[in-house]
Amino acid sequence: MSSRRRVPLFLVVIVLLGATGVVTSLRHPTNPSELPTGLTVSSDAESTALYCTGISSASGTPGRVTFFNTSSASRSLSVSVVSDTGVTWHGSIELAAHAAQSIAPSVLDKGPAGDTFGVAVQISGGGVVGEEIAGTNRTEVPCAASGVTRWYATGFDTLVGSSAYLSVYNPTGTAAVLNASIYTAAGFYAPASFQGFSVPAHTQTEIVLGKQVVNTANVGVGVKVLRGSLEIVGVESSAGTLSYEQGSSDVSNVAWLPNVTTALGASAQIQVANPSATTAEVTVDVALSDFKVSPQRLSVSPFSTADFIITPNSAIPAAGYANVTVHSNVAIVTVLATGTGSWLALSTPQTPSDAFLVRDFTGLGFDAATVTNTSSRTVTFTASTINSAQPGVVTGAGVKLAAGVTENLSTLIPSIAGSNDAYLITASKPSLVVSMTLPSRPKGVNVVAPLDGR
Amino acid sequence: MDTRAPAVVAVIVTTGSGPGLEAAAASLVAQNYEELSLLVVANGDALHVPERVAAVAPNAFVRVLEENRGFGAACNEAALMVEGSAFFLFCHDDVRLEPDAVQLMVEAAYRTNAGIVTPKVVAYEDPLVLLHVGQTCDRFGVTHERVELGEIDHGQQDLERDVFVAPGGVTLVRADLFTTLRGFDPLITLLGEDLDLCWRAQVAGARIVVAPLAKVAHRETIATGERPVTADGTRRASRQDLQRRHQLLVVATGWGRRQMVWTLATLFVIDVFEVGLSLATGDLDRAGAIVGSWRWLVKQRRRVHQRRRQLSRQRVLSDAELHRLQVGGASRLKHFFVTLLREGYDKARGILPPVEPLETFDENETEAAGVGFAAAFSEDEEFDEIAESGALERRTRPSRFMTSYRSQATVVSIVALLWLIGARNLVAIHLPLVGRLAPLDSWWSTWRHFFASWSSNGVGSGAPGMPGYGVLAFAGTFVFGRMGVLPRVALIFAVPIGAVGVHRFLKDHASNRARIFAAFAYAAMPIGVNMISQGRVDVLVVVAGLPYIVRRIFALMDVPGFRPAPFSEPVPFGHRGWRTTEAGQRMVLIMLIAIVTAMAPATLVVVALVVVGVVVARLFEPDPETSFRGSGRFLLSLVVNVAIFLLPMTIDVIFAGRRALEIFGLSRGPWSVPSFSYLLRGVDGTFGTSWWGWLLPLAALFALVLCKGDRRRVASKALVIATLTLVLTALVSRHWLGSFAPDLDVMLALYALMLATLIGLGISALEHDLRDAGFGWRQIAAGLSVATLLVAALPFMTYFGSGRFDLPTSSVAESLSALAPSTAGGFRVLWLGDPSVVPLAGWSVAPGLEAATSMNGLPGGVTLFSPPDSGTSDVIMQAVQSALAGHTVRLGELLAPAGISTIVVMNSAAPELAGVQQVPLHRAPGVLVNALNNQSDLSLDLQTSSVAVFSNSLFHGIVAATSPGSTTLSPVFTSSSFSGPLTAGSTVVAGLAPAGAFALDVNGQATPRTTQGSWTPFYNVPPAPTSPVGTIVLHQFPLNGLIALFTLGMWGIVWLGFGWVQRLEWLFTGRRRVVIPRPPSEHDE
Repeated sequence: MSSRRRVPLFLVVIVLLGATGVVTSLRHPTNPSELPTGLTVSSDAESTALYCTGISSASGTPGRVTFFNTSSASRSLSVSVVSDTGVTWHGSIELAAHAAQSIAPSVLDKGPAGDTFGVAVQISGGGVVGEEIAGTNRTEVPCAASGVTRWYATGFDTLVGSSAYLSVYNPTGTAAVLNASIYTAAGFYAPASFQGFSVPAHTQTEIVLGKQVVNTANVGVGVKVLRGSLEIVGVESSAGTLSYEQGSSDVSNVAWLPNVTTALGASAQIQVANPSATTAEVTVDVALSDFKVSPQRLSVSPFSTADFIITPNSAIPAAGYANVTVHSNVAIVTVLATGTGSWLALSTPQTPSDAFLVRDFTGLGFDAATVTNTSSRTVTFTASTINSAQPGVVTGAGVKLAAGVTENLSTLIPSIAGSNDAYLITASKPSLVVSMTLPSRPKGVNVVAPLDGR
Repeated sequence: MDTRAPAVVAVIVTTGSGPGLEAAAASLVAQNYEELSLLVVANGDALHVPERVAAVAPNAFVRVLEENRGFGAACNEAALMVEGSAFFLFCHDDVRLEPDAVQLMVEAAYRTNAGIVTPKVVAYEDPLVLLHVGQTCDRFGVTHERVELGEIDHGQQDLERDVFVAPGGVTLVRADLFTTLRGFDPLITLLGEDLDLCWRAQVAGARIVVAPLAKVAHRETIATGERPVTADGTRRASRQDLQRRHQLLVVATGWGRRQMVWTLATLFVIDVFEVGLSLATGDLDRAGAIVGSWRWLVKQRRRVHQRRRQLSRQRVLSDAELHRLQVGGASRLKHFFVTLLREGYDKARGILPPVEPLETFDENETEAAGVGFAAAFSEDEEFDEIAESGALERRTRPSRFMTSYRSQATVVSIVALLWLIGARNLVAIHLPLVGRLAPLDSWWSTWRHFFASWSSNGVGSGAPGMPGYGVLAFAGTFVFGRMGVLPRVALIFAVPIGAVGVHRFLKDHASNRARIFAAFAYAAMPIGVNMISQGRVDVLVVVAGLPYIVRRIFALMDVPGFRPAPFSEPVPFGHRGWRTTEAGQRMVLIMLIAIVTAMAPATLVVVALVVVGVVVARLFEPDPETSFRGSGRFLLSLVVNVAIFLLPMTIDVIFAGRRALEIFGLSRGPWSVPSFSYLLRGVDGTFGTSWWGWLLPLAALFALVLCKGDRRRVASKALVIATLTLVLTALVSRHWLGSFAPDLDVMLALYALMLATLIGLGISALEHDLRDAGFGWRQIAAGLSVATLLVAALPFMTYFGSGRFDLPTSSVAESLSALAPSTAGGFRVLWLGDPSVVPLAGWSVAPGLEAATSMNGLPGGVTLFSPPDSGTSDVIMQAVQSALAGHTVRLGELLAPAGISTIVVMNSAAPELAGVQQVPLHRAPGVLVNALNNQSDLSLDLQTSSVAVFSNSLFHGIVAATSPGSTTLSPVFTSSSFSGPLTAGSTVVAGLAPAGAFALDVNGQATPRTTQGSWTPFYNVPPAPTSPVGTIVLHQFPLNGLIALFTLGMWGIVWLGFGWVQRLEWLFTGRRRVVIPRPPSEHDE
């Protein structure tokens, strides 16, 4: 072959191989490990399950679990409740389309006081979501559709007058084994009793942090489920005020907290745990509508916790709700602790999603309800009622939300305040965060989570 | 006293044109022997013979025979005509005698008291070249020359001595001996009559002597093929046929009874070996000649008895005395092995290598090659090399390393020995259940899988049996049904067979040394060893067969040098010689592809890649003088014909719908497939992952820059094919082509073949192309190329250590054997995981996730192949997909009707044992285990890095029944028979699909069947009998069996096409076959 012919062949081969090599190497495929979640997934499911834990009958204020059928068909719910003493109850609920129904663990009230309960609900079909609500109506946490194999939370408090425990429910037929690690401001701690901790199948138990970490504030927890999967909720009782902490199944470099109170008399802290071996350099951006606040910086040592006080903070004026964004160079665990000077309630930042269900399960109405676009591009979302007299879209052709912008849902959906309706908010991509607070005094200390059908 | 010399009658037997008749007659006329008479026997075609003889020998007698009954019969006829002669001198018509030849022979006869005298025979054209100085013979009738081929006559053989055979041409026979022996045996028409006469003479105690001073030139027009074989009874036989049968006749009659039995038995064994070897190498003529000789002997048994009786009456020498006159051992066998060792297989089996293309050397070059005057005195070819010679500077002759046959044979033997050492434990080690090493069923069961109307794959399938079972069963025939031998054979010999294929692939393109290097490179490519270590027998079949397939594709596409001789003229289908026609060659290719495709369907994709690659390469570099057109039609014809040959699989594919493309392979998880850099090295496994894995591709790269001319054209095609393969492999590995996911490893086999080809061509370029180039980058590239090849070989040696090429000793699947539930009702295990680790065939659920089931335990021979049409088994795939999508938490309930008791999620085929076995992890989608963990009716029984096992709490057996008034299902029957006692009035549900294929017979009566909206059949047991006994029976029209039978028939018909129609016609009807002469062809091998 003459060189005149050889060169084009070589060029084509080199270009072809080079292009293939580059294109196939640009992004290394990852093994998908997360189950698909969200309200849209469950709508056409053959069967789904909801698992709730953390509710208690303690102090005469038993919590309840409220189920809401987002679908337009009735659903049969097979409910199993189990207490930490092993007492079980089975029942069934027929949930009409768009209907809601609650059950309280009082059905198991035969057991001794102080019991915690795990609830497993088998649903024929999908579209049913659940929320567990403390008896005080001041804290809520969504039920989960699947167990987790990793769980992180922080901000627990075992100071005198406070208690904290992890409510753990094993909804599967497999005995689960977990290792729990503790992070404090002083560093890492792996109590022997929390290693190889076994949770038998279909049982409810608690891991009381105060037994191992005494008189310590801002305690972080990392749970690794070695076998099986679990439903875990953190329960914090701070000076008699109960709060549920949803926790998260993964650590993250960024957290969005759109409704952080700066009201006078209120207390708001960003509690951070760093479960990595690298010092986390955390930046807290606080946005107030009329004020410019410089980014606040915080270093968190490896395997330890730290906090950043938003309210009261002399650098941050008391001007209603602040939109707080937390960035870190390494993945961390973030939680918002709100309250007064005497107590704090914990709430986990929401993970961006493309579908949320907003409903006032407490009947108290929302003090604030916002939607935030966490992405760097404009997102279009729509809100629709699904159980009102006239179900349908209430936001017209859709609302365009610019990048990083937080919008008040009450402005977009005036009827949301004090409404018994359920609103389904769906976005063009999973980058929305919906945040709500209940009416309180001081303002904004009761943060509740929307339902994301997780 | 009569002092006259004894009378000698010279008999010339002439046939046909007799090109040397005049010369022969004239040389006899010119003899100085007085008492010599000349008798010419015109055998058959006697046109102008009297005139021709009269022109040179007016005193000669001419006897014309109507029929050509052969040389021996003509001599016998002549002997009857003569009286009073002391000697007969039997001559061919293509000889030329020296004037004193007859005199010297007669003198020798008297001097030695010999019965038969033979002269020194020299070449007709060059009397300096010796042809025969008598012959020896072994006990099997194989004659052996006493002179070397082409030996120059320096008088070194001029010693009168006894020989065993007087080779035909010119033979002096004492007349009384000839009469005693009753002359030549007329049964031996041609080729072998000399051996027969001499053997009988020896038995009768006569002496046979060579008189070397008597010199005769012999043209040997029959033996060299210059003249056709025309005697009566030989029209259907080749020279080889005649020679074989006549040798056999001599052996069968020449020995005493005991010796004859022993010798024939030994010869039979040797012949069987030779037939096997010939069949293996496609030398069908040889095999036919051997088989035909035995058949002919049986046919002539009456004549054999006659000859034996006759010879026993004449016998003077005992068998032992006779044997002392012969050479010991089996000279043909000995000669074969010696030649094989020294000169390679082609020469050993008697086929001379093709003529090397003439290379033009100028005079300087010839001198520099060391063949000159001085070379005759020195053993060192470089004796006369002058350092200052300009020619020497230009030579750049390649190293002489491995240039001799002896050294090549030594190196090949060493490598073969090393390979066997490396594979030593594969001979007897327990084969783990990895890859496709599931224990094969018995020979009969494997045939049954091919014909079966129903298979248990998935939840059951009525699809036609995959042709892979047919291939396995057919292969099992050759190991006498010991099916366990087959995977071991594949593991040990597939790579060497492939390497031999590469050696043959490069024939006519590279020297033997280069081909050997290419073969070694192919064996050293990571794909072979990795597939052994992963138990991928299917891919190993491709590794073994691909070089042969690609070679034939290249030949049919007229790639330069791959079709050295044109195809034979068209021959009717079924006639001998059809194989060497274009149609025959195409059919051979199709059959080859079909066999390999049956084991690994992705072979068809590989074939398409080769065809497309050649076409694309021709866009850049058109082949000069190629006559090939219509690549698309060619490819289409291959695909269509293969589809016909694999009809059951074709039907499966047609009915598979969206799963049709899965026939080529299932999508692997993009996260676990080799990266592009690994693909460049051809690596899918643990072997070849380190830096030295780059060496062979690097050496192949050098070839591209070194090759010139035709080598370059072939190299460019290899380059294009390798590139296309790599691109396709990369796209498939990322799952960018959807469900079209041909097996990566099959494609890597093609890539490895192309790399090995390039390496072979590169070495050949070092030997030829580099000498024309001045010193420069090519020399540097050459040096690097050689260095990389040598370095690449070293790490390969380390893999010989384990004796099993790191094939695991234990497997994940086998470690789960204890997880089986009770056998009541039978159970299924659902295997989930990456297709590369699941040890049975199944269907794709998602990229990186295959689902397959085994019945009543571990995978076995029945699960080796699955039709692409999942049919009812989709219920399993849908259930798993549902779980993956989070759409169900009741997977156990969904799977319970199929009788699935256990779900096994595999991340690797074998457990990782530190320091013992290293196994690549190909993880199933991580979401799978999470999804299974979320199922409310599954419980995790076992979880390791290799495997997770879930048990189904709702399992109720494959066959279950509800008691009257209850909805609870309980297993009934046993897993082995699906029959047993039932409860009257109960409802039996069977997890067997298709529902319509099964019936429940209760006490011999069929029960009504419903499906109740599901895929499982429900049977209502009548309340009447109090102790009913039920049996689930399969009621299926044997359509699959008919399809399989039709397929086998197709194979049989095509097999008949390779000359067997003609053979069988002759066998059954006795009609004479028409021999269509064909020119010798490259494809004869």
